[in-house]
This record gives sequence, C-alpha cells and structure tokens, in this order.
Amino acid sequence: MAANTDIFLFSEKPVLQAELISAAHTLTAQTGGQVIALVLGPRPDAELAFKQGAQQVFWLGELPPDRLVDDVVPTIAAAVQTHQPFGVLIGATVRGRAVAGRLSARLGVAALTDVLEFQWEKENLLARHMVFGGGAVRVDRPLTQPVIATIGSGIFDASTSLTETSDTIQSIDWVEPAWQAKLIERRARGGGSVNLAIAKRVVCLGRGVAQQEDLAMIEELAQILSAEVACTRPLAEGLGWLPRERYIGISGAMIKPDLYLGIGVSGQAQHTIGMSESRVVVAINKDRNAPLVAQSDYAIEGDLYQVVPALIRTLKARKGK
Amino acid sequence: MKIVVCAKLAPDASDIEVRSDGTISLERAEWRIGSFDLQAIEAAVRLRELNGGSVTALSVGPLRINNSKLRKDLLSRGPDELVLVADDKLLNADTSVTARVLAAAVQKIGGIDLVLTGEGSSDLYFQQAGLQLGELLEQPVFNAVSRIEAAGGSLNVERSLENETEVLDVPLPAVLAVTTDIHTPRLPNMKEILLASRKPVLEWTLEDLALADGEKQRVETVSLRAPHPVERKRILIEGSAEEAAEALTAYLSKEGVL
Amino acid sequence: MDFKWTEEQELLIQSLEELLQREAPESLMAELDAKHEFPFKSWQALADNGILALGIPEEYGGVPADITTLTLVCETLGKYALPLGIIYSLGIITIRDIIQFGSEEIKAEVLGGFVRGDLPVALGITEPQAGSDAAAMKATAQIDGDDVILNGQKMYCTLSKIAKYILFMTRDSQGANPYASISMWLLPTDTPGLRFNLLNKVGWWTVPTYEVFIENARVPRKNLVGQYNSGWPQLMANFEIERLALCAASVGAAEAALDDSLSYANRRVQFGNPIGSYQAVQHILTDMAIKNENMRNYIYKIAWMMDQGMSVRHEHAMCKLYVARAACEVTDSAMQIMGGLGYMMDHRVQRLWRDIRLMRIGGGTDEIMYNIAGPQLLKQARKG
Repeated sequence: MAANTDIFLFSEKPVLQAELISAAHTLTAQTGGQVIALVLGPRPDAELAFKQGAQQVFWLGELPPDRLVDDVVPTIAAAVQTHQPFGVLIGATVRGRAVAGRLSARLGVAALTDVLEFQWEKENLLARHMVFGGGAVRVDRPLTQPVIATIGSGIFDASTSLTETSDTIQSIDWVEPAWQAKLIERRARGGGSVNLAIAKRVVCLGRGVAQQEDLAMIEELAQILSAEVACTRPLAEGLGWLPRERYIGISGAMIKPDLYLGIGVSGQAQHTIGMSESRVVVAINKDRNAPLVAQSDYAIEGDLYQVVPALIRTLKARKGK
Repeated sequence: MKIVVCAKLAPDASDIEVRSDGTISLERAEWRIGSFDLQAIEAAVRLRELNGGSVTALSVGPLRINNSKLRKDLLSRGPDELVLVADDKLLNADTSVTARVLAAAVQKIGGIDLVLTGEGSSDLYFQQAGLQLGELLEQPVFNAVSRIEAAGGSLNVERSLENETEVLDVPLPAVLAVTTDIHTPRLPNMKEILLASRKPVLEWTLEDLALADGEKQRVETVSLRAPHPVERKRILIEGSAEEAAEALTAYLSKEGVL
Repeated sequence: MDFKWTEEQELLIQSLEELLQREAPESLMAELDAKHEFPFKSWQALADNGILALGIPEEYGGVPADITTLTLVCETLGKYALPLGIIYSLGIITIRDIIQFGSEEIKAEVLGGFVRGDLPVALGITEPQAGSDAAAMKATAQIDGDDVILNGQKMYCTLSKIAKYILFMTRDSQGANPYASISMWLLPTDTPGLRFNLLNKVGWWTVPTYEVFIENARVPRKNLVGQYNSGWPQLMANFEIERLALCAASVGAAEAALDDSLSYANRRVQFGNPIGSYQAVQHILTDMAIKNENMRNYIYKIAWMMDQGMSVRHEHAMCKLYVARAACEVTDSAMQIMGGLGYMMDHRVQRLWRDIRLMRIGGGTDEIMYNIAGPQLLKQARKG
C-alpha cells in the first residue's frame, strides 16, 4: 500500500508540539497531505493542537498518573499501520527518542534523529543532521516509509500565522503494551523549567569560571542583560553546577539566540555546535587563542573576574540613563 | 545476573580530517571504545560486583574491530568475556542493521537478564541502538537511565528526564541505555590489562547469526561534509577591563541586542 | 629491531595519561608548585589505579612489570606531571633495596603500604661532608641488646619528614674499607630523636627536602636491611635503575618543554609572521627534537639491556650524563623560544627549567658519571 501524504507528529511537550506542527507544514507543502497531531493528554491539550495549526488531531487519551509516556508506542504504531502517513515527526526529548526508536524497530523503518533541516530530492525526503561530535554534517535519505524523524527544541519556529482550520478531535483506540514497567515515583529535578531554545539572550559559562560561588556574578550579568544562564557540558554533568537542561552542546541544548556571551568558554566543537547560529557571539576569555574567539563577533581577552564586574557596572550605568 | 554490555568500536571523532573539497576523511582516525559505552561497561561491572553473575561485552562492526589491542582494551575494563561480530558487510551499517545484529547475538548468547548500552555512539550519537534493540527483543527498554539497583527479580531504575526523574520497577529481562551520570568509568590498571589477554573472545560471523546475506540498510548517506562556518566579525576589543566593557556595550547596543 | 611497545604497554600508558589529566592536571601542578605543597591526592590516585603496584612482588599486592614498562611510566609521569615522576623515581632505589634485601616483616610492612599509597621510603645517605664522596659518611649505629641506636646528620634528605621511613645509611668507623663498612637501616620517621629542618631549593618545590638530625634514635635491631656492612653494594645494586628512572622523568619533561615550544612558535606572531616560520627558531626546535629523540632512544636501550640481564655499569652512567645535560639544554631552549612568557612564573616552562637543573647534580653528579664511564671505557679497550 503506498503511503499517503499526511504527516503525523507527536510530542509530550506542547511547546515542542507547536514547532513540530510548523515543521510538518513545511513537509505537507510538498506532499500535499494533512498535518495530523497525535496528542496524549487531557482533552484541552488536543484542542490546543488545532490552535497551533494541526489540521487533524488523533487523541490518544489522557495518560493515567501511574503510567509512562513510553506506553504509547503500540498505540502510535497501530495508528501508523492503519493510516500509513508519509512521515512521523517526534519531539527529541528523552521520551521522544525512546518512542521514535521503539517505533522504528517495531515498524521496520529507519529513524532519523536530531534533524536540523529537511530537503527534497524529487519525491525523496532527505534529512540533515550533525555527526562526529559536531565535526561534520550528514545528509541521509531514508529508504523506508513512513519516515520517522526526531526534531529538537528550537530547530523549527512555531508558526504564529497558522489558522485553526478544524476542531474535530478523533479518538484513537488505546493498544495496551505487552510489557509494563511500574512507576514507583516521579521526582522533580532542581532547576525548574528553562527553555534555552527560545531564549533571546544567553550568557554561557565555561571552565574558565573557577568556582561555583562565581555563578552569582554571572547570574547578575545575565539578569541585567535579561538573559538566560547556560553552561558547557562539564559544568552541568561533571561538576553539577547547573542542571542538565542548561548546557549547550551537541548532546544538550541547541540554541539560536540574538546574543550569546561565552565567559571562560574555550569553544570546543561539541559546544559551539549548539550555539554557532547565534546572531551575535561574544567571547570573554583570558586566552585570545581559545577556539571560541575565532568564532566570535566580539572578543575581550582578559581576566573574566575583572571584565564581568566592569561589564555589569557599564550596563547598569547605561540602564540608569 | 547475566549481563551483556554493548560497546561500539569506532573512529575517534576528534581525528576527523576535512579535505580541501569539504568532505570528511576518517582514514587516519584511531579506533576506540566509545566514551559513552565505557559508562555502560562500568555500570555492568558494578552490577556484577554487587549481585554476582557475569558480564559479556558485545561489539559488532566491520573487520577492523577485530583488533588485538581493542579486544584487550575492552576486556581490561572488567567484562568476563567478549563476543565480536566482525564483518565488512557491517561497514557503515545503519542503526537498524546494528540493532538487528545485536539482537541476534544476544539471543545466541542466550539466558541474558540485562543488556546495557551507552547513551549513544561516540561517532554518530543517534541515541537509538539500545532502544531499537530492546524493541526487537520485545523486552522492556528505557533510555536515560542514571541508576540501576537489583531488587529481587526486577530492577529499580532511575531515569533522568528533562524536568524530573522517573523511578521505575523494571521486570527482567530488559534493555537499558545508561546516561553519563551513571558512573565514572574506572581506568584499567596493569593487572586488568594483563588479565585481559587471558579472557575468552568469541568471534561470530553473520553466518553464525543466520544473517549471512547481511541485513538491508534503511538509510543511505547522501553526503558527509564539514559544517559551514558562520562568518564572524572577529573584532578583538583591547584595553583595560573598564575600556573593554564600554566598547563592548557600545557594539552590542549598535547590534540591537541589548 | 622492533621499536614498538606491546599492546599492554600502550593500554597502560593510555590509561595513565587519562588518569594524569584527571588527577594531576597542569593547573593543579602549577598551583601546588607555587604553594610548595606535596601532591598528596595525585599520589594517592596513582596508588588507587595500581601504578604504584608495578614492579612490586605479587605477594605484597604488586603486579609484575619489567624495567622497560617502569621506564615508560616514569617518562609519562615526567611529561604530564613532573613532580609525580620525580617522587616515583626517588622511591625506586629504596623500594627495590627493600624488595631485594629486606626481611619478610619489613617487606610486608613497607611494600604493602607503598602499594596502598604510602610515600616512597626516603634515602638518608648524603651528609654535610659526604656528597659524591658518600663513603665519608659519619652516621653511626650502635647495637644495644635487641635494639640499635642511630646517630648522625643527613643532608638533602628528600621526603623524609613526610614519608613513613628513611633508609638510613650508617658507617662503622672501625672498618678499614669504608665501602665494606656501611649498613642500611629502616628508620621510621616518627622515632623519637629525629629532627627535621626544611631546606629551601631553587626547584622541586612540591617535593620537600630536609636536613635530618638523628640523636640516639632507637629502633629494633631487626630493622637492619640486608647484611651488616653490606649496605654499599646493596645500594649500588639499585643506583642504576634509580638513575634510569630519573632520566626517564627528565625525558618526559623535555618532551613537555618541546610541545610548549612548538605550540608557541606556531601561534606567536612577530613582524607579521608566526615565529616558527623563521629559520633561527626552526633550528632551535629541531635541535631540541633531536635531543629528545636521542634521550628517548638511550633510556630505552638501557632499559632493554637491564631487562635482558646485561651489565650496564658504565652504559647507564653515560646515559644519565647525556640525559641530564640534554634535558637541561632542551628546557633552556624552551625558555628562549618562549621569550618573555617563558620567564614568567605563570607558565610551566620556568618550572621545568628549574626542576630539571637538579638532574645534573642529584642521583650522581655529571662528574661522577664521567668517573664511572671513563675508566670502564679504557678498561674495555685494553681487553680487546
């Protein structure tokens, strides 16, 4: 049976869902099909998908509090097998990756991960993503259908111009998974929810910042700039100074802010790949030969413990005017 | 507990060379155990230390992975034995092929309670192999696992999500992809390095796994190039901290980012 | 002739390099040097990862390792964390003397502790009036029942106060031949009667050196290591490997100095070009590289000979002589290449320069190395 031209999308995060809907529209512009959101959650979430621009909504129902998002895999698989969409876009969260991987194995198709851009080669869809720790860009052609792709936060912009064209929610029968893991507990993680992907300005600290106490100074600078605080991977994972969702890099957040200010950040490829599309890049580093300096628009070679306070003073004075 | 830990032997991404036409060469890259896989190996070895049983390292790939030094490197990190499936039909195998070969190998080893994989391979980092493997084995499978504890006939598992940690009771047999949070891998000492060459290595072909024709790829790579560098202004601001701060503020104001 | 390392050696060094980058990064070494602080945590990390177990007999928790492997370890330590290379090398003579000549009780106590992370046993040999002329020592040992009473003053006794033991050399003044009158004792540093005076050196700041005053220090007689009056040949048995280890650490440091110089020459722009593009600089760098290559070949040839059980009586002295001077020249050239920056305390080249300078003096001076080699060369020529 030839696949039809619709695009399915799924993300347990409404913000990411909006971006996937936008991405799906760029694809259906070529395929001529419909953008169909698969929604797991209470009914208002399903209604939201329409407002975000989905043309159809398949409502998977609300997940009971003791169940896992991953349990949705057999249900989505059944929906795919019934409907035969052209592609399935899944938000690249931890759960999203799990759903995509399991779905692809179940359906016997390829999964393309962390897609940065889709390209068309006649009727073939191509996907571009990073490999080799940010050192290379690879374009892949899936040889199977549907095309399952995961897309990270901030890669596609949620569209504000899509109008609601329908509001008829379709219910999908739940397929009970063959195995279950028991949910014992959900524990909130410190750090709250920050979405670096939508931050307009980001102040990022790297190894050049000597100790955790110095975070206060960086936070003060970020506050004056109305910026989010981010860091390189070692500060989040190794040192645990900041929660994981604040680190920028190939295995962390990929951001496109108007301003990126790297403080004591050397600029390893695995990090810069996460911010290289920032509009304006500033580097403050004691070594002018640090890789980030060559990849910046403005750089100050100096002791951050002098420069950052000076910058805070200058910006405060400017605000005062 | 009988544990299999999957490790990918792949070219070191930091050794990539960019040719003048922008394409990528890995010819001179040294092949290594993936850094994320080292964490999975450490997790497996610690589970064995606490709960008894055995750890079998499993690696699939092209003929190149069947290399004396790589074998010793893997075995010096704690596994009791190594299963290698080395065949050039697996050169540039896509994730689905890798997962299918891993599944066949795990089933051939038999009697496995737990399969561990790393977060992703160190070269491609698609973060998929473990998930696809679990689904093919029709076993419970979870990614982002940051803690594993044996609890009777099942596992108490912590999974690190973006905003929360899920604590799960996972029935065995299962497949888990661990995060970098899980353990700092121990460094092999000379004793382990010397012992490594005495541990058993099983070399299986695709025929042994009844996959003689290889497995069909589901992805074709169209191009592999160095990323386009974004043109930057590269203005180096000199002067004292105060002067530099003033100059930067002026620039940023003009850029409209303040 | 195969110049390749075994796979086991390659894996060991790979692991050690990663360990040093984690536990003894340059920033830490620089900080400890500036503060004159011993790298306790890094040393313990070496123990925890089995490095100190190398070459120690298995019954005491050790792992077999040939001299070539030990040399490789010293070179690697010297390259990434010279202080650790120095400390490790200093320990080799005393630890091996204990292995070869110590009683079971002494071995179990000292070697087991070393593998677990105790500091090396310090060597108490030099005295104010006895340096190169070591046999002119005056320290005494007087038997008193089941004990022995030790008296004397030792100079340039590195580690001593912070180590658990000193291998204390005494001389029987009655003996006609001084080299047959020296005895070796295991002296715990917490024995009453010991006083330590810290000495202020130009380099080796993280490795403290003391003047030690021993006044009626009483230890059990069974703390005799080996035979009475056999102390000198016992020490001599391990001078060679000690010197080789110090050489290897020096070679590592010279490699670090060359790496810094090459990196700098590529980046430093003067008169519109990187200074590495100028021939004058290239000549210096090439000479440095040749010396490093020579030093490396020399130490591994000596290590190989020792592993084969061959005599290296004068060969090792020639090697030490060459390496000490060449390493000094390389670190000095590195400072020249790096110019003003090389003279700044901020950069490690000055530390390498200061630390390496001692190699021409400690472990046997250049002049003594000539004294060993010269006569042997002529003797060999006469035989032929």
